[in-house]
Amino acid sequence: MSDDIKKYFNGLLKKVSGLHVIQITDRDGVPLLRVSQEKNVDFALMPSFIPTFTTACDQASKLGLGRNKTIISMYSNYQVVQMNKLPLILTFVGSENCNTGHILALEHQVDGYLEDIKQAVTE
Amino acid sequence: MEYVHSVWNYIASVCSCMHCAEDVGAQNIEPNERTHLLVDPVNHSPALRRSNSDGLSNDYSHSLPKKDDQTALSRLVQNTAINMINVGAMDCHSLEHQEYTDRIKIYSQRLHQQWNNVQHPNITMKGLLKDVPNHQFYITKPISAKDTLQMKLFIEKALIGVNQIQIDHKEAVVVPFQIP
Repeated sequence: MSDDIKKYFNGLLKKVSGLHVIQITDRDGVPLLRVSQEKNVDFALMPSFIPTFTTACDQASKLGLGRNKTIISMYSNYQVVQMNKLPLILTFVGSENCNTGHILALEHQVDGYLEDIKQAVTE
Repeated sequence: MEYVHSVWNYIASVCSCMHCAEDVGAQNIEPNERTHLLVDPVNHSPALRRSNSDGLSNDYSHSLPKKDDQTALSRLVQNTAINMINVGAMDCHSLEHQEYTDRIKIYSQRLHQQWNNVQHPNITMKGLLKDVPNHQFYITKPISAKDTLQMKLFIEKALIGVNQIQIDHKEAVVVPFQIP
């Protein structure tokens, strides 16, 4: 069954051109599932990078923006899309010219699987 | 003369602003429901009260109960902590390497158990007409000879039409570049 899930996520990865990594972690950045194409994007998968997202969400909400669900960070070579699916965090890493809308559209296709993965964290 | 007048106006406005600021400051000092708790934080601090518990507890026995005061204070501290934008808190979230690897193991074990036990319901069937309701009805229904004949006729007509497409070029197909 886990192979099926990996296959499914690999399929999603190939659907969006320029998408390098899909990673599901808990809120501390501990990975539960990761599918990636051969690309060196370790900076976005560092254990310290992902928890920063949760803190940034919390702190940014105090600036008056309200609670947000997604943070998109654009870099010179990459883009990182992080989604708040507490207790999970969904991270996508793509190239800078990857269609961000396509990445965001993957959210609904992943939701069904996240429910199962959440149970592993909350148990 | 006008210049002197405008400068005078500016100085007057600055003075009035300072006056306003002083007023605001003075207003803040006046006790209200917010400042009351922090007017004399040393005297109201629970630590000090504990140390001088005999004298103070007698003093406060007539006024508000001690618990209310403490909860109000703790609520105030809590609210301040919640509302404060604390960028330094980001460093506190780093996990120990050992804990990190342990958690990875635990999660992978749990996921394996879960996925081996449960047949996943969300796997969608791939195939034609999957988004059409009641597609079985249309698939099992035999196609009538008339329909196939009509389809064949349309395809033949379309083929003839495509074959008859011709392009009449009026200008030269190869255009020479303007090389001197």
